[in-house]
Amino acid sequence: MNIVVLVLGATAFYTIVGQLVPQKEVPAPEVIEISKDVTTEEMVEIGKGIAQGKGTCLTCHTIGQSGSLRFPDLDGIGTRAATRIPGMSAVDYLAQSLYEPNAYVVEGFNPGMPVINKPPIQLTDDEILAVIAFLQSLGGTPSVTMETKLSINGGAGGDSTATATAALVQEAASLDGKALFERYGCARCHATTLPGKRLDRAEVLASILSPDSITTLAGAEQAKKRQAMEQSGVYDKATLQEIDRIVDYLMEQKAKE
Amino acid sequence: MNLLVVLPILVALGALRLLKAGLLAWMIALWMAIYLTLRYGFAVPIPASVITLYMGITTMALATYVLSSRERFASCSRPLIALVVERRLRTLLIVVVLGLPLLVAARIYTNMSQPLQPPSFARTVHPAPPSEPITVRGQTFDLNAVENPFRNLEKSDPSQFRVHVENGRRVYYQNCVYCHGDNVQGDGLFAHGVNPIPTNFRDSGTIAMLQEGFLFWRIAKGGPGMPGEGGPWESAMPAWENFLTVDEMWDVILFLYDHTGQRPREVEEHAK
Amino acid sequence: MSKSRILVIGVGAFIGLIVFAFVARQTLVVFDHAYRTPVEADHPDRTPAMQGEADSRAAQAEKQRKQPLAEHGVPLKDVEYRAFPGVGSRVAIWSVAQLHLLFAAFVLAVPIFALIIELIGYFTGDKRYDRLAHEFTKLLSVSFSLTATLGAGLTFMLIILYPRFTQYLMHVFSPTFLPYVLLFFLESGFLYAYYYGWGKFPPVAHLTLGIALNVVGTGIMVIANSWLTFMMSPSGVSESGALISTWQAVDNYTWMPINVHRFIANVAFGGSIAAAYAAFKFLHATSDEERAHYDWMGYIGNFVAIIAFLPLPFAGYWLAKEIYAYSQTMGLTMMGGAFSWLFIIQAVLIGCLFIGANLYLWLGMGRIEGAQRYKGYIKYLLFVIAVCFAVWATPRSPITTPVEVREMGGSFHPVLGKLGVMSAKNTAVNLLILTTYLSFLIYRRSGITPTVSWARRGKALQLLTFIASAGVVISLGVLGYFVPTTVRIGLSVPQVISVLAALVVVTAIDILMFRGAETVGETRWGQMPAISQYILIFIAVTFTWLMGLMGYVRSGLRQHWHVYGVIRDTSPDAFTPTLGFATKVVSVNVLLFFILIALVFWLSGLSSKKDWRARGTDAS
Repeated sequence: MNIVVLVLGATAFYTIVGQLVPQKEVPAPEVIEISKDVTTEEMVEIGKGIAQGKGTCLTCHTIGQSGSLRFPDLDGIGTRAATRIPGMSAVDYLAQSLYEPNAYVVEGFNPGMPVINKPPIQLTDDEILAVIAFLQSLGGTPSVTMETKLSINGGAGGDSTATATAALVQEAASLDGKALFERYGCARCHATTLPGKRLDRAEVLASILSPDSITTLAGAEQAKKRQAMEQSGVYDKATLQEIDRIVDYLMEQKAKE
Repeated sequence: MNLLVVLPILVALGALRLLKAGLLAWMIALWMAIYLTLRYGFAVPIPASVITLYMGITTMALATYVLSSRERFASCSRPLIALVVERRLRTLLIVVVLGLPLLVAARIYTNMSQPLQPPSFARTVHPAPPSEPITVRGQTFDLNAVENPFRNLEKSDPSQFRVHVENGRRVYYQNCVYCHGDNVQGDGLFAHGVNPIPTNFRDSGTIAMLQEGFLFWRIAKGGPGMPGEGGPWESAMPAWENFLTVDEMWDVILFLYDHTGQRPREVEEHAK
Repeated sequence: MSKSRILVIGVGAFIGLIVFAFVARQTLVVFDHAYRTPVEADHPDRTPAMQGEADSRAAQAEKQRKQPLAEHGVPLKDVEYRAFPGVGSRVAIWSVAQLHLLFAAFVLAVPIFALIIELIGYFTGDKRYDRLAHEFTKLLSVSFSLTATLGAGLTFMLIILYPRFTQYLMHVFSPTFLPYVLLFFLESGFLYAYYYGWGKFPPVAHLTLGIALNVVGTGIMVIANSWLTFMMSPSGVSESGALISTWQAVDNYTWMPINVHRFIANVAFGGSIAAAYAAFKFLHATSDEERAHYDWMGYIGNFVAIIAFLPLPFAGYWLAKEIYAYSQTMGLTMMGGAFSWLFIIQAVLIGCLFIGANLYLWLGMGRIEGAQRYKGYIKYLLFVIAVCFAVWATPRSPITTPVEVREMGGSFHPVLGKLGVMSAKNTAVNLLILTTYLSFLIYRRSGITPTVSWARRGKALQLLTFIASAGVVISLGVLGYFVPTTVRIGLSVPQVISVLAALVVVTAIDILMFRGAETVGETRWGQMPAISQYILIFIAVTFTWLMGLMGYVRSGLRQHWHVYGVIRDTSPDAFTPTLGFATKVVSVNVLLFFILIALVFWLSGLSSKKDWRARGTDAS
């Protein structure tokens, strides 16, 4: 009998502890319909909601804090955005940091942000526009509208993604290996001028298609590298023939030395 | 630490030691001592939820100590048993039996009779300054690039620099002290009447993490120039551009950093 | 026992349960602080609009009823979810999976330490160990069939309630199911042979059976782990979920850490349940001899549990690190987002475990003569434990009222805010482990005195090791406040290493120093206050509850995904519930588990009772 009381008591105690902490229910995110005619001010409000909720931006990023932060503070991003990468407008910079977060990592921070239009966060292009409007409003004046075309996701905004992607594929089909190497952003991390005599053609192909197969790194380091490869978008955009052409180009470089 | 509270508690515990108090008395005394220290002993009060958590742990630890050997358990339970069975303690027993429910009732009463409080808002304490240049007394300042015109005197001409700081001190004690306080800790005479409360400049989370341009903007434009995210309440800070000259505002900024021993955040190199 | 007494007990228990349920409900209502709508009258005034709505609903229902079945039936292939009546699909599957897992953990753990104890018995020739190992395995056979039944229940419920998702999992993991079934078959063979063959085989053959049983058992766990870790950190499939490689799907990010974490946790959990069994028997024992035996059994069970428990935080740390490596989003959801408060609850539970384990050791010193000289240390140990516990449970941003925020001048307290960060918490956990180990050392030496010539130096060296390790832990913890984040994260590794090194060094010295030690006081097994046995049961409940809670966070982390980032949960249960709700479900699961485990204890107790004879023939 004492045992029964003890078991019930201990369980009840832990249940009560569970009731004392803040109770928050997280709803499953829904696709937020944004009609084409909302004003920029309304986009800021919508974007703020997305940043706090579905986009989970504010789980990592702070607004208006300093000290030893793990992720860049967003305060004043509206003005800073235009100055980060020379020649890149604020909107394009913000779009890049959402669609290709590891393309430019703020100095002093580690890469680690997920691609926002892919699972698990998976915002739609319209939602991302609203988030950009919100980010611009932090210390700046928002300039995007729902009609803004972003150059980063293939010059596509809103509904025209599919056609734009098709155009991109068309364009890429006619490029040579060197152009493709730059087109898919390989040059962002890889150099072609260094002596690279270790791998033969099959190995180079394998290390592109399956980055884990040939590597000198291990564990989390390798994971970081692979994530960077995956997020470069090369797997989604490039066809096999194109990758073939890139490898051809790389082998040419090797032959030159 | 609030020594006025902590010292008497330590004295009381010392007295218990001299009186060779029993284990039960010690346990009760320790529990109360820890509670009082947590509740009143800190200069910045600890939230009630955390006190509950700590007292739970304290209770558990004290109970563990009592249970950890038969002798301790016996020496703790003996007075309690005596209280219940012995005739001469009958009055005390009645007091306890009546008192405990009354204590619980009193606790519930105080819990329930809390005044209504507004819900808490996530307020941005330091909203981002406007990206466009601001105009103060006819001059334009780009807040992202502006620097204190007298800051360089610190190295080039220290005596002149002191003059500016002293002028800043005069400005502060003639204008700002009523809210921001004698010790620049945000606890001036009027501080308790305004919401949001005046900034405590000694806090390392305030001016030390801000650029001088930010301070200049806040001083010049005050509460009326506060952006929306600084809300939901209006800041009571006046727009000092209507009362002070530009140089006086820069001087008072110099004074604030000088007086608190903090350094302003450097202006970032944007071209990087 | 007379009939009326049985009746009184039965009715009493029933009334007791009702009263408990009522009190529990009232308590929860009070704690919810929730506004409740007033009870509505039976017949509210009907407005024309309400009447109209009711009419149209009735018409709709009538229309649907009249339609032929095929028209409003759902074609087979379209079914994504089916609802479980009452509690809903998620809670149903949650409970069944949790119970299955608890029993599986027990069934996998008992053979591990039964084998170890049998080995000790084999090498030392002490018959007590053999008897103990046999007694542990007695709990197995009933638990094994319960595990299998719950597993089958879980499978059926998955197929019925989540057909689309289950189909996908089957598609990805099809090659693993047959080996699983085969291993299960082998497991039951080995298990029954191991149990029924006790004393019937030569010892070496029996030990080999035990090893085979453990290998097969671990294999089963590892295969099942691959399925659920795939749900958390899928690999080997494309972004749209197409299968690329089954092996890659098995060998995903969290697979190995979960394997190791579960293996260790199973041993700890199994040990604590076995200790609870011993405590139960101790409390119902009638002779001193029985009490002595069960006291010893409880001690061994608890010892196994605590030894396995000490490295568990490190395994958990590895798992968390891999989760971060797989997806930063998931890692931050866990530690900073929706689940951050869960880890405060976890701290409370683990704090209770540490206090319970230490209290049991201290009480155990009461049965050793000559332990008196160490009694004075208890309060200092307790002080360190309580302080570490408090630091660990300190939330980073506590629950505050607006008035308190105003008084603090922000949502962080200037003093407590410094305790709520990882640097302080890691330090606290490492110190907790060191202190508990110190408790154990004191317990170990309370009845014996070393005779070796270097005893004084040995003790000094042990003390120095402890101080050095604590020094390293604390100074690295303090350093953590002054270095950038990237460096700070790396600091926990040297902290852990220094603690582990200290444990190894101190143990080695201890073993050498007490070789041939002189006994100054006998251990009087069985002379234990009853409260110690209740503590063993409390530890078992806490362990079980902790497993339930951590199982929830592991599964709940996926939030609105069945397979993280690949298959979305589109059912009505896709939201993440409140922690209060989750803890209630965990509590119900734990209670169900203890009801079932009581059944297991009772059934395994039957075998040692005398056979039933027809009434009247007893006397003959």
